[in-house]
Amino acid sequence: MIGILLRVLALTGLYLLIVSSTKPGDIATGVVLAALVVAVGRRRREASAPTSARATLRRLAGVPALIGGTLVDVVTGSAQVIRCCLRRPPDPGLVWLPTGPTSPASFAAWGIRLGITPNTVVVDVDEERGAVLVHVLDAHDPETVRDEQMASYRRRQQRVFP
Amino acid sequence: MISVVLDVVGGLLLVVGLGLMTIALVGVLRMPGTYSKLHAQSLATGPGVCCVLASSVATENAATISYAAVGIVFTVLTAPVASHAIARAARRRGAPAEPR
Repeated sequence: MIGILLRVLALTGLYLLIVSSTKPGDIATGVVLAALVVAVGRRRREASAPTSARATLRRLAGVPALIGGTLVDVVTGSAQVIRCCLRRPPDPGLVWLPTGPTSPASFAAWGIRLGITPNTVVVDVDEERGAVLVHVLDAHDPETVRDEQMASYRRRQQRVFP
Repeated sequence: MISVVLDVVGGLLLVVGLGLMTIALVGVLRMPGTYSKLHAQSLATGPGVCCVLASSVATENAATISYAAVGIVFTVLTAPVASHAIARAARRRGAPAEPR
């Protein structure tokens, strides 16, 4: 129930940002449209195990760490890319990042996190193996790249998108 | 007072955003290979665009700032997808690089 309310709230917020208005009529329209989208989405989604309110709240508590941690990754990644743009990249290459996310939503979140960070480019995804192929600017030690990315996944994302 | 602070913050964000885009342009021209160029490109389409959009706080106009916020949200969600699509296409067309 909390999840549904949050989705409706988020979509209503997005609608109000787009129409740039907080008039009661616009808020009502936003709530109705958001409720419709959420209802259609629930009907299309496959039946999954219901999650408790406590689990949802625990996941929500991890959102600040997810957003803040991703921002830190973006800033450090940008610094590395800036260095490489002004000089030459040390040893660019492709690296498989195995294990990690297990659900499609988690894969998508991981892909967006890796993609928004300028020092990693997602090249391919192998859902069966649970692995993502990324291109990094310094791949001379692939194990270090894997360890860093897995540590980032565990620390920042696993709580919200297990 | 608030107005001056917002002007300064907006100006700084604009300078940082434009600086990132300029460095990204240099990177796109200098970096070797498609994948490496994508790193430079994502510097412009990610942090660069977000900084320029965030500089709209200097306008102190709610409508402008809310449009910029929507722009940032959609940029954050779509830029990685575009970058991934280009990288995947490059791999399928045989861009040289073996996974390690």
